[in-house]
Amino acid sequence: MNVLKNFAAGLGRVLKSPALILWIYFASVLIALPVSLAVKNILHESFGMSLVNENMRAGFDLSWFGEFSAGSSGLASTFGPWVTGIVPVLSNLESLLDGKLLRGGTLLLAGGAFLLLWTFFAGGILDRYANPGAPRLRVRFFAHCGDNFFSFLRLLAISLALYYAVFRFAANPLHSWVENSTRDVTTERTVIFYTAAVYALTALLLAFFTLVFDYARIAIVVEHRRSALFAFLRGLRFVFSNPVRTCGLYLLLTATGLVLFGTYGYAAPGPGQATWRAVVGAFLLGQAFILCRIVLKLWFLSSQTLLFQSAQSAAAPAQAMPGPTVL
Amino acid sequence: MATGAWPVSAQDSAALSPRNANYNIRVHLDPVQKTLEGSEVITWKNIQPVPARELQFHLYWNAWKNTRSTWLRENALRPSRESRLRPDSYAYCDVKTLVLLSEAKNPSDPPAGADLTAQMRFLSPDDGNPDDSTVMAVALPKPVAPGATIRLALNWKSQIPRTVARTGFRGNFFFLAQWFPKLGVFQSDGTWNCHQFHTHTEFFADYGVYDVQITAPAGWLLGATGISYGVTRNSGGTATHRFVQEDVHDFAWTTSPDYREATRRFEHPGLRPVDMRLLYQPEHASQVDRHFRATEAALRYYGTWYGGYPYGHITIVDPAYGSGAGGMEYPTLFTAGTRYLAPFGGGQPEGVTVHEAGHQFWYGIVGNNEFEHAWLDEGFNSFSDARTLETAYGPTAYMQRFFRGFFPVMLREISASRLLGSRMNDYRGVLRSDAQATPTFLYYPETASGITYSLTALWLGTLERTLGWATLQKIMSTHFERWKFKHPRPEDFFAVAGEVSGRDLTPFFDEVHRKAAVFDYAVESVASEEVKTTGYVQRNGKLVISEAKDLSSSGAPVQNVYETRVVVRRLGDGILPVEVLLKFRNGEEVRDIWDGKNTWKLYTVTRPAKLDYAAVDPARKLLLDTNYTNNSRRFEPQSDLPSVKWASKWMIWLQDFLQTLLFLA
Repeated sequence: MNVLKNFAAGLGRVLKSPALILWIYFASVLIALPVSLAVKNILHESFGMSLVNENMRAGFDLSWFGEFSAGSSGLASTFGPWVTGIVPVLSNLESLLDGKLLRGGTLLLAGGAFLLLWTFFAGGILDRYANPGAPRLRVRFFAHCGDNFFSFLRLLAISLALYYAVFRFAANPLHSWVENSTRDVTTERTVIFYTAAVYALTALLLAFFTLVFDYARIAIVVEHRRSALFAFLRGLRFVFSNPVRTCGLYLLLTATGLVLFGTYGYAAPGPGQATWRAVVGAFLLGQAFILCRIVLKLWFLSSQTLLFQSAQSAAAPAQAMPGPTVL
Repeated sequence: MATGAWPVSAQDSAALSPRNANYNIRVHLDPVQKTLEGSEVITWKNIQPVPARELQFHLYWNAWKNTRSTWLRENALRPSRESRLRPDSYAYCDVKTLVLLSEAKNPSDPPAGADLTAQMRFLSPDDGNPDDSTVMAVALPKPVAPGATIRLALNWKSQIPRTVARTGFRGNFFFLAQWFPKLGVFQSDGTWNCHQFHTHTEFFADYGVYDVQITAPAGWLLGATGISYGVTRNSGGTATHRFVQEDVHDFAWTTSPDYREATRRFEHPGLRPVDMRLLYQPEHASQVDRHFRATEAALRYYGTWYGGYPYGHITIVDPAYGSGAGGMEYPTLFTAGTRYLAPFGGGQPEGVTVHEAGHQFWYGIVGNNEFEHAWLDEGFNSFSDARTLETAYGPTAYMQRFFRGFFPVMLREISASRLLGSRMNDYRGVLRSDAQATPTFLYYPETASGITYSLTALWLGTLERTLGWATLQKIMSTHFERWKFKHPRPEDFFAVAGEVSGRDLTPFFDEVHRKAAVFDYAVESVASEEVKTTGYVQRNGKLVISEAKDLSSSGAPVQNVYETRVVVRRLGDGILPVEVLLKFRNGEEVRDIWDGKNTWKLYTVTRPAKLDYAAVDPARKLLLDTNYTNNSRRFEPQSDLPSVKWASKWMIWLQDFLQTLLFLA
């Protein structure tokens, strides 16, 4: 099966299991909604009975924001004009590429909870994609979730350690090197070029590790591995033995993601919704974007699972792998 | 030794200024060793009624001689600044010789006179720091009588810093400011006003004529204060540029092989035409027009509002990336500053260009003492640049820069007033700090800018909204006219303000300038209900206990009449009169001016409609109010829509963050 077929079939498998999309979506809502309600209360209290309400209804009142931010800390300090339009997406992307995704305690709890939920669900999701013909039983799904959870958890620990290492030993030193070696450079364009190169390298490293970890997870489920370390090595070996196909598929999916981000960047609503209908519309558009991001993430996993399985079957005659006992 | 002929006489009858501190300088730049070697002849006239027994000089670059200087000690107090310099940022200005010249019979005669080199000593008038060498004093063999003139010859060598305080080098870009030994200002009480260089202060000097010959590598473009009087090519690959300028109090210059040059002429009815010269970085070629337009806006609006720009030429310098030389003013020359990616409306280069061009008026032409009253130029200029930008460009849009600041994203739908936009946030950070009347060099370094720039701009904005622009404009133009080419003090401005407005503005300046007062007015509570009297009422000539619901105090039935009670409060210690507005649902309004002297006031009003909202200072005249959100209050509870709307956007941001986290899992 070539890359394009994996790509297309991967989407097919994702769309055939809409419940998985909804599970992940509801997980994100479950985590985000209570915190958002807390933010809503903070804002409501700050607006009070003031005429600022009108300004914030029609747009964004930077004067109010100056007062608000001067006295805010913790959760409140995460609110600002940067939550509107495409800015949130860019801001999160910047955090990822600057190694600041896990910095700052306020959202760490929410992020940690979501990572744990995802780590839990990943086993069931991958089983569904690896065995599309198997009965779609909720009990089977959760059995695979539980069966693989601790292996995935260990893999997550390795992943976080590598993420830290990428920034500690590569990205940050390289940025410092650029800063020092361009201290006599008088054109910003040159510094932008070097900085962009470091960002590109960082992105490549992160993408490479993401790729390896994806296949490591797939290997854990498809090959019923237990050792996270060996699964990581298996993922590494698989990527190195299938560089064109694994990278080609990854690039194709990344390009799809860029199209998605670009589209949302163009369509993302600004601050101007003044009616409930407009507010709900803007929210639904945002949720549609989040759903698309979830589909994309699952698309990565499903098409990569297909690729892994097709490579496996090409290398050796298919043999039935025992699954976890399902009662 | 400088002996060039003066193109303009210090005694010229057309002189705009006293021209009592005149400099004839020759300097050689070594771009490899990063040094300057210079000689200068200072012609100084004592214009005070008392004799001068010594001379005092600023040697600004000694501020970065070592970590024991006052500048670096103070800088270490600023968490936002690097307290230690890079090794190649240390610098010095070393005066080798100082000679009091006798009158030469022929201009070609070698200079002769009393060698005062051995008399040179360092002073620390501000903090007594024995290790600071930014002020040098020399005792004179005999006093300079009032009205008498002396000539001094100095030779010095300087090490150029990697840019500190907007002077120095980066690569082969050089911006040289405060680069030569410079006299302080002799005062009428017989003392010198010659402060040490502080991390948060700028400069002060007398007006004069500068005739400067600069030797730099041939082929490098050079810009400087004044007009070019030609370039001479030398052997050894250097060229000597001569620049002359009358009636200024400083001289700065810049050179780089990378500069490109553009010129344009500013013309506006009623104002003197100005030849503009822009030295720009090649990567900013697309922003040439934006630099000129912003400079034109400053020349036009400042010129129309306050008084014309008198020099006929101006040089705009677009400094090299990362040089740290941007955003600084010098007579007839200033540094702007922009980015490779600078979307229109984001503040650069327009904001900084208007501000620094505006300094030609407040600092250049009206030459206050920036060591002691920096707010007189920085604050006036911040107010004026905001007004100019608002008039020429409209409000500013919200912009956020990503990926180490290189990639800007602008949200044009979110905009802010140019004056309130950043000034209030800046000012809010320095509340309860020094009173503005404190001499600038004594401000706590980290809070100096908020007091100097923002507080002044905000109280000028308050004055504008209180007195009206026509009156404030007349105050400022009168102050400008009266004090151009002089050294005004705060009292001079206050006197002009009172005189022109015809009002006693002392209470206003007491609050905003002489005290570190905090202004915060609020609507504490609102109530509005149908008139109902509970208790005894007159009925049929008797006092009876009231039973009916809708009764006035006389006992007569009342329908659809509401009593509204509003409590307004003063939460800060700053006291200025404010307007109070009660707006009713039938459109009626009740307005009152509250003097704010007590900490609260109750308004009880009966109207045929319920209250819609109450507001203190509804027109937002008092720009210094640190919490404007609490200035208004509606009677009815507010819809959840705004908080739900913004929380829902925040939720999408959080969900996107969670999805981004999946890169790790």
